Amino acid sequence: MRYVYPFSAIVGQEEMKLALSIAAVDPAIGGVMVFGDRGTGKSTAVRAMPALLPEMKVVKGCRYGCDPAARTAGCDVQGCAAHLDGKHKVPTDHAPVPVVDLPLGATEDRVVGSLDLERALAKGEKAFEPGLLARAHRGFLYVDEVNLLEDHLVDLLLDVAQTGENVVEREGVSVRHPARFVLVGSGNPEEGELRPQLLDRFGLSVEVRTPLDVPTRVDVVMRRDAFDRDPAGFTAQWSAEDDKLRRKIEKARKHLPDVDVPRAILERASQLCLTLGTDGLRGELTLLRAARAITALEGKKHVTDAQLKHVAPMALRHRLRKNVLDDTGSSARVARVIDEVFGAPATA
Amino acid sequence: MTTDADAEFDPAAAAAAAAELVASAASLLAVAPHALGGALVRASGEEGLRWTAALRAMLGTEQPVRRLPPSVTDDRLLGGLDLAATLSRGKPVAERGLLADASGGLVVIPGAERLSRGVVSRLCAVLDSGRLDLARDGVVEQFDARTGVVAFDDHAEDDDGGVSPALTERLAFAVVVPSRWDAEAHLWPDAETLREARARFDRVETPPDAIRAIVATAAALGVDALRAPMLALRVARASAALGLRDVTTDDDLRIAVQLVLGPRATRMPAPPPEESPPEEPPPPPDTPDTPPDDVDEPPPDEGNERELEDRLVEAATAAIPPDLLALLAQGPMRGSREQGRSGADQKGATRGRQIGSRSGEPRGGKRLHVLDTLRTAAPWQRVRRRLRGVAEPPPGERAARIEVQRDDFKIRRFVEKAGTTVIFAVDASGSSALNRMNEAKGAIEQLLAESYARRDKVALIAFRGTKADVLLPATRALARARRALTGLPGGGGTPLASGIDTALGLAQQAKREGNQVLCVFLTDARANIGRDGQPGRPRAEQDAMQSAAAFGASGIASLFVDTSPRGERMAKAVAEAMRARYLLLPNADARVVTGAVKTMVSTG
Repeated sequence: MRYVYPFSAIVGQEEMKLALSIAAVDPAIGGVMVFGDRGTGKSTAVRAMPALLPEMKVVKGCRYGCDPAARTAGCDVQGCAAHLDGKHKVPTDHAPVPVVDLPLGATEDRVVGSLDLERALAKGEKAFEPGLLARAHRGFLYVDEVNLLEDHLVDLLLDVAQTGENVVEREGVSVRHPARFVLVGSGNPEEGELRPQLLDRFGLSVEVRTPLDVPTRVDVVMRRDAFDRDPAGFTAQWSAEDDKLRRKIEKARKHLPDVDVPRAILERASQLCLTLGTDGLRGELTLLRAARAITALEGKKHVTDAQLKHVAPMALRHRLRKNVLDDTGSSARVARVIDEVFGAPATA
Repeated sequence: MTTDADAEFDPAAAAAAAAELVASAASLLAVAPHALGGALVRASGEEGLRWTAALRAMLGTEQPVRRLPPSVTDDRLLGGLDLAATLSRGKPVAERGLLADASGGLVVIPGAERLSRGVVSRLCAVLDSGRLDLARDGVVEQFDARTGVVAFDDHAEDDDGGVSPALTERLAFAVVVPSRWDAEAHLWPDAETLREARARFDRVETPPDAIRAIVATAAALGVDALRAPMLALRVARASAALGLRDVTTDDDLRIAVQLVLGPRATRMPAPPPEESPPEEPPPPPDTPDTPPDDVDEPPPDEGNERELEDRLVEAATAAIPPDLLALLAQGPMRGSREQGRSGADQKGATRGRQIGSRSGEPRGGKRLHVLDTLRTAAPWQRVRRRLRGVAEPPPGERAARIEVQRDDFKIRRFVEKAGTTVIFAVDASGSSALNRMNEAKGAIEQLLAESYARRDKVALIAFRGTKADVLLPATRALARARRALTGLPGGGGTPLASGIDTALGLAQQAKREGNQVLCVFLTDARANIGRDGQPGRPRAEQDAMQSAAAFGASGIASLFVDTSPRGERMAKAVAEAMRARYLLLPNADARVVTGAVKTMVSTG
């Protein structure tokens, strides 16, 4: 049995944990990019996510794990498309939400799927073998060191993440299947920066830093040490916390459609984006989505300034135009504008 | 406490202690190679071999050692499709790579400073997770890879760069094997003790105040990375396991901070507030289980913890190598030890955009184009079956297997767009140095900020005083460039010849790696220091012209920005010899330089 360091046991890094929780509540948020120092628990957090994700319903026997309630593009598995018209009852099953780790050095054929080698070699048949994108459908796809991934592979991932469909037209096979997943990338800015046009395709971006105060560091090291020595006991000790968070996410998901965004908040969001000079509408849409998700997580009905302010940095900081002469980090610039728009000091 | 230590400093004793520490690192690593990550080793060839041999002698039968060449390809490193076995058995057979093969033991990497970023990140993933996920060429498999890494850093001491910090951060030890280090001079744990220690390692306990002391010691030494105290704790546990103890003692902690935190120190610890306890020599790790009386079972109150921390800081300080100590004494370091040059990105026929296939063997990282291979094989099936005397399948049915031969193999072809490396060589001598450096810095930042989309890199050389220095090796990371560009030195003579030589060396290296190269010189060309570092204008000018001619012959594109007020005769002559484009720009304005560079890059 391989134990994974529990999500709730991660010390601090609240923004990263919040961003991942938001993505769990609303997968349409469009991906999360985690930038930060080495050894700050970026990978640990993502790999711990399965424990936070409630099981999902799938069409029984569908190899892509299609959603029986979905009315949109299905897959080509026989019998699976029957649920699309809403009249047929299809047999369902429960499955855990996939969190797929893109292995370093993965070749493109294993990512998008390709010819089934075994059948090709043994029988000379051309059959499609789904790749990692199919496995990540309705879940999360994690790419560590996304800044080191070959450009064409990153573009491909983002394209699929955006359209929700993987189209394979190569090696004489022609297949399309649904592949809706939350792309989570992580990287260290010192190893090479991400192209800006790539960065703003991620919905949220968070920055993690090494904690520098000694008590926090003692906590981090102590928990890690406890986990190293007794992974089973440590995981059991934290499972109640993880369960609590999972129930919170489950509730927030149900609750999400009922969250209301008052007109005044819409205007505030526009004002924020205009003042910051973010390009296009994507920033604004993501900001509102994230604000709704956090409101749902808090169990509230209406989005207020407080929620908007809370998520604005992660929704917007990677959409600012780089100003080479301004050394201020994007986080500081967002904070400045938030104060401007909402009136400093914070009153909400 | 430092004054006391200085007064009693005994070089022979210090050298003996250092040699003993180097031996301890090997013993501890033999207990838990994967948990401790491994070691960065700096040594001459002979001593390096002796240290590795001592380490290997301690490893058990279930701890394999594999040698990993820095230029290793993904199919050797990670594994992939075993083509021969696949074809003969008619179903995919995965081949283990080196990392999975060495599970439980170690990979030894000579010349680790030459590892590419890609290989480094694969090593890091294995060190973090202890397993290897393989998803390549039609095989998806997971292997155990509880592997440690022994990385030899062979780059010259005064050279810039070194092993990637992403990797060294995950290795508990940084070992400098002293010359004439001899394994015979040390006591080694026997096989039985090691076996017992390995079994015990996982259950050794670290008391909470020990953890607090380690974290506080790391803070006092300016070690920010959190992996360092975690590794120090594991080393303490390995040390306790070797001593056949179930709880770490202060001696275990001392050896851990000496080996793990000392070499990572970025500043001298502040002197302790109170009187420090008397100096005691670091004991070897395998001393019998009788701690000195004063440290026996410290009750967990504030005073004792403080004292423990002070003693640990002292122990760590004593283990800091003398050259590093001298550096630290000058004040806090600005992360310069964190730097390192990641190796050249892998180029060539293994990545990039696919442009079909060609005949060839799937070796050396080249990937098989399965469909094209089968397509090639298809028409010959009947013929081959008949030749092998295999019966034809009955009509309507398929043959059990396809006959594929070596001649059919098709490998994938890729193109990768070449990036441009812009090398700035800036004259940092004399009065206008500061201005030139600032404008060069501005131009570098602008170029980097605009070059994300392209695969462009920027490097910076400064020449002043007696020689030229590479301040920023070719990079595309703006964050890294910014850090390297803060606090640039200025003033002194003008070693123009050295500046040109260094630029040429860097340019040729970048070119070998498949990049387009452009060199930008910012200088008034008033050369007054010869290539040998000696002053004297005529000799310096002669050397500069010679270097310029060599540069010109290399065919590397260059831009020569003359920053003198009215244009120097010498500058024009040098530029001409270099076949450089000449630009008179007394104020070396960053915008104009950037513009000129961009025009030259885009027109090739």
